[in-house]
Amino acid sequence: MKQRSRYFLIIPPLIFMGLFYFYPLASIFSLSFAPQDNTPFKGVEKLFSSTYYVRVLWFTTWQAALSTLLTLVLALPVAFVFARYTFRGKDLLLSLTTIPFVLPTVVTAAAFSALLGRGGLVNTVLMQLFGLEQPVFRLEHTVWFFLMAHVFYNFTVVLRLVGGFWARLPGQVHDAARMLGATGRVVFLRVTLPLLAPAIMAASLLVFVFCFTSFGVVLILGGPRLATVEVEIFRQAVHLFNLPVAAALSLVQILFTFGLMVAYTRLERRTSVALLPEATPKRTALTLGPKDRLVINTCVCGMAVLLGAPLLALFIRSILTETGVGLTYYLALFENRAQSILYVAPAVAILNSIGFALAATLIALILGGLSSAFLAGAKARPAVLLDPILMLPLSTSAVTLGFGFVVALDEPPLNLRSSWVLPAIAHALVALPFVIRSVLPAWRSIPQSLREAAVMLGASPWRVWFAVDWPILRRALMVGAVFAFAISMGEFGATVFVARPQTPTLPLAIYRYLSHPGSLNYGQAMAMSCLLMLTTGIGFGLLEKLRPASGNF
Amino acid sequence: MAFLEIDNLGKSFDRPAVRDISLKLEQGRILCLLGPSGCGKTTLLRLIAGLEQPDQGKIFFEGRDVTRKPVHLRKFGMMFQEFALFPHKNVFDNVAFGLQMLNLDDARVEKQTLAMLDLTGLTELKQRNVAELSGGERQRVALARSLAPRPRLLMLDEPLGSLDRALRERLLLEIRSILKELQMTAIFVTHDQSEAFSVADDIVVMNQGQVVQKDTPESLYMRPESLFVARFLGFKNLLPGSIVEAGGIKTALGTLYPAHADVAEGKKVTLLLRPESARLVRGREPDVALGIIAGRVVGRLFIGQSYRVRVVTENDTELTFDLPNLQPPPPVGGEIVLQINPEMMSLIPDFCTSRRLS
Amino acid sequence: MKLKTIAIMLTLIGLTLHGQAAEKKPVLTLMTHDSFAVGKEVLAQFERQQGVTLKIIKSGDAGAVLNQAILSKANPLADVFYGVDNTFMSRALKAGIFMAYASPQLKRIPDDLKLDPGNRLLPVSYGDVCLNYDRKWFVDKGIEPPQDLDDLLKPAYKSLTVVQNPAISSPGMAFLLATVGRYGQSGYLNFWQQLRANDAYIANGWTDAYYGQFTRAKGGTRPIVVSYASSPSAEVFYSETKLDDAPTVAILAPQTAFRQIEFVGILKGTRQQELAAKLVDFMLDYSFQQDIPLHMWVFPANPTVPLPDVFIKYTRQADNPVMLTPEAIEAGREKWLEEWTETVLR
Repeated sequence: MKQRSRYFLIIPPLIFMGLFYFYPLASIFSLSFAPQDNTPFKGVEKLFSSTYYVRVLWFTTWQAALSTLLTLVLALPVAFVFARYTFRGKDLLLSLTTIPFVLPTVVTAAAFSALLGRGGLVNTVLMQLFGLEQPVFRLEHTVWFFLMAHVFYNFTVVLRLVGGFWARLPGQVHDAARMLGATGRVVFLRVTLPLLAPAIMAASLLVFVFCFTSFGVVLILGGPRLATVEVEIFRQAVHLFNLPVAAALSLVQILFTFGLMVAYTRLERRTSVALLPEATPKRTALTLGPKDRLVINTCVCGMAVLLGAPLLALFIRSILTETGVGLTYYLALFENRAQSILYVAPAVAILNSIGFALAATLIALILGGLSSAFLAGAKARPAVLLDPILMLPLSTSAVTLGFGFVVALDEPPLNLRSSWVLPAIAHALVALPFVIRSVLPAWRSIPQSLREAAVMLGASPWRVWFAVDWPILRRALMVGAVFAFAISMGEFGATVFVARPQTPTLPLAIYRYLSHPGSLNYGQAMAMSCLLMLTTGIGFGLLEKLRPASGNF
Repeated sequence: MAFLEIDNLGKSFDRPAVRDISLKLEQGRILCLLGPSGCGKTTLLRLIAGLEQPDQGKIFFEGRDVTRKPVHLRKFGMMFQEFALFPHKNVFDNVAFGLQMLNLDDARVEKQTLAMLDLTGLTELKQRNVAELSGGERQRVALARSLAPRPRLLMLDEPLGSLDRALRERLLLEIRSILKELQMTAIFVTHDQSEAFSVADDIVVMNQGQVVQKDTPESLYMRPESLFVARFLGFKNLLPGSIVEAGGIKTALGTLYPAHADVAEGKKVTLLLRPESARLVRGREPDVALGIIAGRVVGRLFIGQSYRVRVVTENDTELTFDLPNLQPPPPVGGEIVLQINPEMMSLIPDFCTSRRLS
Repeated sequence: MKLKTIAIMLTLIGLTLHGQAAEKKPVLTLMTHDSFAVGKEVLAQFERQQGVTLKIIKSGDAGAVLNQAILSKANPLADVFYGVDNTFMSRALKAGIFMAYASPQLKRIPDDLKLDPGNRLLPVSYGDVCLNYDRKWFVDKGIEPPQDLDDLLKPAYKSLTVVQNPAISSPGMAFLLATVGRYGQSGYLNFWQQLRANDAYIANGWTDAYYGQFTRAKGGTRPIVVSYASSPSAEVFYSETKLDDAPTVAILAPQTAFRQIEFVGILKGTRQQELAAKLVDFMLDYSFQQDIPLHMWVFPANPTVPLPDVFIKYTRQADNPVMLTPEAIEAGREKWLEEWTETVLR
């Protein structure tokens, strides 16, 4: 593609970002930093006066880094298993790993408490078994509790991004290294890892930014002493209405992560290796020896415990009524006890959630695809800047963006403040980086000679694209689609602060149940969470069906 | 004991790939595994390399049982069909990899790598990224890489498959001369019999997981032992017949008398008339017993060194011969008389049941 | 399920179509927080009476939605805003986003609720934030349940309390204000210091406190929580099995509870001023007020409205709740939060 015409690709994404990210952000910043009354920058001064904020920034950074490392270490072996082997139930398991992604933080906290809290399942069982007085696991308000939750959430990001890429690595390269005398460890360190580097880095970046801007998880499981920058922004903006400080913190957060992402994009360009045209991906092993089975079983079981146990705890809570096991809570979901106008029929909530999710996924896929197309072939300088810019919404405080929407989007044709389209747009903003990170490494790995071969055989540029790029991209786009869908179902991003008319979604309905006392309310919240899990799982399953049946990822 | 000995090796995937194969290979010899795709030759190669584990049987190398030895300890080399170069390393690093695995010091690694690059004519390309090389250059890098750590046994899996014909022929000779210069023992897998003939000291023909014939190239060509081998080698003139008295074979053409007919009387055999066995004769009457046959030309192709002529005899037997280009044969439709050299008639113990030979 | 789905889909389509047809009617927009709830019939009644379509926009909790209203004051998102409470009142009034409206219904509302003499914000409902304890837990353990704030500091009640972080939680903030009102600006920190020493758990929201740590929730270990005076009634109303008595008790000793009053106001810049006024009247009137308790679990501002049974049986109001003026709250909020964070968290 000619360089100049390539720029057309990036225009729609940039327009989208301009209208729905930069414009609202600029509006809220200009409002916040404008001299108000007689105390123009009082709040901002405070920012630099105490070491408190520096400590908060430091805490936010190291907990994100540690979470990322932990997730990588735990998820890479499973990614290997998924990339190299085919076994029964593989697709189902893959869908299941993404379910944690969509659970609202409150529900995750409830699940973890149900499992590992002081009065939780594990402690109770252990105490009874060994006749102990004190619970064994006292994890509330410790770093470990929310680190585990971070791993729980982000496992699937590493699994899908790295696993999918791994499956496409040329197969015989490993055999060649072994023939040349490399032990398994050397093969992994010197051959596999360098080739996997782009995917690992993409996943790490996403997980890091996610954990860096983590709000609910740290808050609930980590406790009030452990505040991240995001929590501080929320405090300042919502409770104290101290916009200057909130905006200043937002800006710090954005600049910090932007710097990180620029460094990352530079690194990614250098380590991306185009695979050689004769290299075909290794077909997954058809016969499984005993050693293979052991590896698969260990990894899969480990993952099932880590990810499945909290989900199972949730499910158990939803069917364990005061009168024994039953579907009381599920049935209660269909009752409108007080004939409230705000009663949410489960079907309505499901439809709304799915509606938003499909809209957001579509927007994110189109824009993400265009962006990746541009970035894959662009020269260094524009790409190094544009790539991080497109990732900014992920690292921007939801509060800030939400307020930005209110201030900016008030006049036609953009008077979308209370429109149903806005949540979908907010979701798409956050999902866009995920799509790009899924598609870009795949796109970069397509060897140019394949395209050239097609051209020489008489294919027009469109046909070249369709025959060479599209099959590889299709798979990567599916991964991106799954993430976008999950992000929307789980209501990430600014949607918490986006005003909307009566279009309640599943997470909102769950929050509603959890804001009043009563065992029925709690039970219904659990039941609805299970409905959310089920809906998402089915959604994923359907999305996977659209994937080409190549057997691999 | 032989340098490499394989006893009753067997391996199945969802169907048997290698069935009860036993082979011996002496040091310094180049063995070729020849056969159609799906015959199990690559599987056998991978079993020897250790990349697959056999279901049954043993592999002995220099007298020791290496069946269960891990791949990276066997010190065998392998050159892959897809080259399998490390895309993230340049030419030098690719070739040096095996030497680095031997934990040699950097100076020695560099010295031996440069020597190998020199041997394979890659010195000028040593800093280049492998993605920038042509197919032939990549093949040479793959060869250099596999040879650099001086393996005791080198295996090559259809290494010339992805190259064009002219390049292939040139590189075939290069490979053989390099291997001989290094006194390397090698196993070469291919489906192309001309490659096998150019490179190998011994050829093993395989079909459906089993060894069909093991011989030198000459013996294989002169005396194929089964119809499968004959057909695989491209022989077309396969005449079903039966032995009659005094070393004659009764066929559809008549009774022919090959030079060596050491098979029991009454047995059914196939008579092979090799393509180079015919000469144009003029002014002779057909006499099958003397090997003179007559027919009509139905196909005539000039291939440079010879004319490939398709002839149909009066009893509808179609034969193909390569006639030396000294005497151009009659045009299509014309009558032709050929003298078949009895020395170039072979007996195949297998019996061919179909009359149509092509 | 299939039948239900089809039925629901048809209903949805019907509603949409109905909505389309109803486009002719004027639309009145009410902006409020996520906890707003009211009976379907009641709102439908209003829509019929006035011939309007009522559109409700919600976004987040009370603080967030108020901030959004303030930020959008040049171009308001709605006509009427419900959900300013007395802790945020000063901020709301200072921002000048509300229009004065002296509703004729005001005569039915007691004076002590009318915190805005200018009638820009009119009281609709009120509730008491107070401590709740788990009756059964104390009976089982044979311990006397606490009766007052000071009791929380006693060693007998060590590690038994969970409160919310006032920096992010509305009831948490209300409880903090209760202690400020009770112990004074210089004394409240002392209370908190001792409470911290007595191992009180600081949760991050009402949900985390009530459903995470309170013993009524599965796996909770603390039987004393900051919640609402109406929570015992909610426990009964939303219980699975039929309960004879409320499982929790609210502590309503003098100066231990904080009264939260919620207001409604007409947003400046509305284009439906008359209809907005009608909505405000409606919200102060009988049918709406009567509907409030079971939906929002607070008391209607109009004292003559009959309360539902579950309220009468299990909920009392605090006789002597802490009430701080909105101005005092706005002036002291940031300072108190800072001091509290220093004392309790660092």
